[in-house]
Amino acid sequence: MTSLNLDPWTATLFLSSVLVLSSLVMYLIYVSLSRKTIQTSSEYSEPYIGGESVTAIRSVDVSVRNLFWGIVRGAGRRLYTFLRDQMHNGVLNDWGVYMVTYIGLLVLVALIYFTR
Amino acid sequence: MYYLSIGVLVPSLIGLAFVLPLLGMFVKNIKFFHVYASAASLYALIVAIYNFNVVVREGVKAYPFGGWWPPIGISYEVDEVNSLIALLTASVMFLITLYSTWYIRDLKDAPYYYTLLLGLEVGMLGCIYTGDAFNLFVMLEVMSISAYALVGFYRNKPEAIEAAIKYGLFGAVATTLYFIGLVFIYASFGTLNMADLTNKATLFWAHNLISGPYYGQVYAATAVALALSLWAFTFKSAVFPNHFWLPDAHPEAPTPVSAALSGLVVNVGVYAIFRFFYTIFNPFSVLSDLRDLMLLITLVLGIASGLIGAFMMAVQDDIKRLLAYSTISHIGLILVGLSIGSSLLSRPGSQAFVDGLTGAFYHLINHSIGKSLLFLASGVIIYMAGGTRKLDELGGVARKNPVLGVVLVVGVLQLLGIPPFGGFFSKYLLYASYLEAGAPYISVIINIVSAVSLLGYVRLLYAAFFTIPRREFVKTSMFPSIILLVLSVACLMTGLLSPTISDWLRRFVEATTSKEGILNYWLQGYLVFWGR
Amino acid sequence: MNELVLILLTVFSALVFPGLLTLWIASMLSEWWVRKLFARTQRRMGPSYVGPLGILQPFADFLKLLLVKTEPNYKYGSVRLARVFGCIGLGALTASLFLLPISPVRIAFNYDVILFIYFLGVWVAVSELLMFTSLTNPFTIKGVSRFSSILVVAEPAFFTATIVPVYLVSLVMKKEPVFSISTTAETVWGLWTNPLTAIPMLLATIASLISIQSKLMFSPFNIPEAEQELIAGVETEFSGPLLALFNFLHDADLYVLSLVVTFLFLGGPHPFSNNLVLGVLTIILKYLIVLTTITVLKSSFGRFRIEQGISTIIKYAFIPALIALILSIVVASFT
Repeated sequence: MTSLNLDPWTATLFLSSVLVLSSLVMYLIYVSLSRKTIQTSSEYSEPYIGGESVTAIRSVDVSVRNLFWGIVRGAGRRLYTFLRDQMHNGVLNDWGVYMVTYIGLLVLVALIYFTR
Repeated sequence: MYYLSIGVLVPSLIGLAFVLPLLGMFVKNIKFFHVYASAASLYALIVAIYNFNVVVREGVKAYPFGGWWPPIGISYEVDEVNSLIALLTASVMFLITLYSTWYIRDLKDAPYYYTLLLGLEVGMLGCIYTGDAFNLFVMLEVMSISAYALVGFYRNKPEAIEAAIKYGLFGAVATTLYFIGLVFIYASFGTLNMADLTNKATLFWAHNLISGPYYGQVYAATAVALALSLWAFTFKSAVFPNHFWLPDAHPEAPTPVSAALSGLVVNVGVYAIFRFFYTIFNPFSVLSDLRDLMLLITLVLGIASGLIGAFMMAVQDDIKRLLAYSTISHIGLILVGLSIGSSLLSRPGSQAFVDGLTGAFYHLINHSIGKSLLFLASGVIIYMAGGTRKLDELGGVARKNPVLGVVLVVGVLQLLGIPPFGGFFSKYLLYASYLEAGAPYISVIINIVSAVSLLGYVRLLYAAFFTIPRREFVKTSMFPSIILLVLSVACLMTGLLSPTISDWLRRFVEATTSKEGILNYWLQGYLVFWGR
Repeated sequence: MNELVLILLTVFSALVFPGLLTLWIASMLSEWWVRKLFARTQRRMGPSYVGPLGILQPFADFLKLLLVKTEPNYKYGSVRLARVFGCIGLGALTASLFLLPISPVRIAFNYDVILFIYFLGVWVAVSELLMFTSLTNPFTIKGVSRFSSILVVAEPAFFTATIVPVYLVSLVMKKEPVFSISTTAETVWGLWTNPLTAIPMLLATIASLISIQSKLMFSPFNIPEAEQELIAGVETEFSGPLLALFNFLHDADLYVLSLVVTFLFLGGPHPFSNNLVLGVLTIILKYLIVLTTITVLKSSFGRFRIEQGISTIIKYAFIPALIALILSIVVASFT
């Protein structure tokens, strides 16, 4: 039972080498014990879409836009309508409002601090 | 004695840059300009390495231009932090220039492109090396004007022109407000030299022989000047709420320029905030209360930037816009690290203070390398996918090109902060500093930022690897892949060499921000006249 | 210590105990416990034939999938990527075990909780994500989108819940090295006896159990692998040795996460820290309590929709953990 007294950097590198070692060993075990399929039909290598053929859907991949709808359109819908559609709508006047508010706040803080 | 190499870098590079359009009138072979620009940036890299060596061995060095002693003349003053950021800038810029030789191989306007690129590099190096606040303004303008022109470089694209106009308009306002801040500083302190300002703010020696005593309401004037300068610097480094220009400007620029803008130009704003809040108006100065309050404001803004950048990154359709929002998020994190200096959080010289600043600079380095890597890789991806920037149309390029795939994964893992890549060590320091400072909720917020930004990177990897190709890929040479491999090896090295790097950074931070270090900064700047 | 002996001991720890071999055996046995208990709550038999009480059933499944079945060829994705990241996930779990007090080669340093979270939380999550995404199928991608949405809220919740006992041990009980998992594991029982710190600990335990439930995709959070709703969600295209690898990764994740709860929240081998046999038995007993809790939760709920799932995690895992953290800060400032 040895306790190694390492600084954080060396300890992280040590544990990363343990990661590499274990994954390598696992990979070798996996590759040596598993076998690849001998292709018998072309259907075997196609994605499983509930029994349909690949031509039944428009594409095998999903559009990037639909990737996180659980957050963007589900749980975080209010957050995203505010962030994407109201804050970052590209209207320069809104940019100006944010920036001027910020500098007003800074100058106000500076002046109030020294007139107290 | 003062070293010529500190002063010679910026003017010589300016000369090299401005000779280029004249040469463009006579020389018609584009290869000449590729070689010329690469040689110029290699020269800058060599001088930056030499300066770094000198400063690390011998401490802070100053150089008065024209022999005029400060504060009458302009002097450049390089301490450890300076030289490190300049070295980073010069080396990444060299790789970007090499990449440009592939990217714009057929462009007819190559001389102008290289002029502006070298002008960008000159501006950045000048901002970083300078020891004079007004010279900082001048170099900021040099850098910004090159940036405005480079953003609008593709003159036939309306989006590029619009982005350049927006960036230019607000950028001009920002630098003008910084100029007004300088007016306040000059009116009250009587000097613009950073070392002299340090002395006057910290009262090492209350009376400078040349610039005289204080004039008028020094506290109020300096407070207003600090507020205006902070605003201007947060504009340059795209911190919420001054970040709106970045997602429009960075995608529209040519890709090597996007890498330079996202990876290097934003560092200048961060460096300027460090210089103003940790050296000139340092924790031992008479304005330390206001400084604490302003650093708290930067903490809040850094957190807001990190969260907003991460959330917006997850809904982008354009590959370069996704990376631009990622820049906003990471600069927010760097600013969170820089804000540890507020005395409400930590004492100067304490473990949390040093850890936070070390983490901020380490993250600066990691982010520059990782972000440049991702932008340059995206340039190759866009080229191979036929010029489209939309994520849906990339068509699984990285699956066909294994080098590109590996490089993308390395860049993403570096920015996500996964051990053993360098990004982990800087994030570790940021977490540890706030846990040490007794504010674990800020570490939780940093974790939330990292978790949300995972969404954006998964989007990027999915689009680059696992979308179905819709057209033939355009073949490309191996040359950009070599540069990408160099950068990814650098990403791995910042992780594997982390004991050395963190030790050096800790030494630099302690040397620069301790009371002796700040005294040394003033002394070196003041005594440079007698050092000839 | 002698360098060669240290290297050999490290290799032994990485591959045998508590490394790959122990990980495999413990994961399979954990899977058996969960499957048997889950079946009994549904008045089914569960695994019964292979070995006494069916204890060797998961081993048999793993070996059958690995040795007898063949790996799929897949036209639109990369099976090699799935393989590589599956193995990397297992390596990350092995590396994180070095930070717990059970490893012969123990690593402890200030703030190593961050490294622990990054190996156990982030590396494993990224490996699983890449493993799922590498086989492009509309159902898999839907599962991936749900999985990443859940991960975004579950990871910070788990991080916050883990920070609470670590923070209390470092600042209230003032043990060195500070903010370290091993230190916390050894002294955490003292936090339960003090009523001021017991309340944050209770909140953090609840938060950690719920975040673990969601990270492991157990009901009511079995949203990414929504069976029959998404065919098999993220696991649609796994078959043969790849499925064996994924099951191993998943069970190993269950094992290590439950071990973390056992050590960090239930106190590990306390009160028998000095007695080897009794200590190990106590650890196993507490570990089985954690597994039983997870299984009871799993069998009591139907599946949530994705937005219900995310709001449940925020309401019952993240907010309690934050409240626990704020209470800990208050408590720490008084002592």
